[in-house]
Amino acid sequence: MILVNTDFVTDKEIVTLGTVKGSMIQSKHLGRDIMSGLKTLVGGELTAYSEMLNEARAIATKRMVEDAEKLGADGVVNMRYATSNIMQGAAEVLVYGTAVKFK
Amino acid sequence: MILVNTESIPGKEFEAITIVKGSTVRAKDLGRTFLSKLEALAGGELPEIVNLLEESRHIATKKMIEEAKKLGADAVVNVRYMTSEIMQDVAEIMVYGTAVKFK
Repeated sequence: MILVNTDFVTDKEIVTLGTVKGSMIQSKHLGRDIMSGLKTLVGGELTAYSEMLNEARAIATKRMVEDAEKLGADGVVNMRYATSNIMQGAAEVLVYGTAVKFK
Repeated sequence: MILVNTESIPGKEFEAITIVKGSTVRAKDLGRTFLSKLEALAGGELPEIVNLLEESRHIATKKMIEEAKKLGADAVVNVRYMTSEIMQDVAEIMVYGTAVKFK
């Protein structure tokens, strides 16, 4: 499975199969939320949230890839990421793209 | 490492490796956040926030480049930046693109 965010794959002729997506809503436990809340007092990177979003994105990407595999895709082109704040301390990450098959 | 937000690099033929990304969640300290809120009342540019986002973008870009280097990439094409509010006064910056190798 090749994942790119360009709308072509070099040297490959492709047939589009359809849009595939994966999403994930993740939250951290209270302790980490409180730690992150404190961190906003002093500034700097909020590692707990950085990790949380990275994990969530990895899972969302996996779900998208599973979706693409079901369609018999060889790759996903024109991938895009989106993030939104659903409620305090929880974020939704979404990843989507077009599943393609090589000729 | 060449970073472009076009899908191609003139005069170069390349092969796509995969999508790469970098992200960070950061906050300013309470004092600066407060200062920015005062400045927002008066209107105009908010230098502290601009500074925070610029710094974060720099860090996220660095993380993406590191990921691309690990894959042996020569460039990242179709670079996209994304910003979202994760919680109050906390922003996530994300940058992603397709790592490619020159032929």
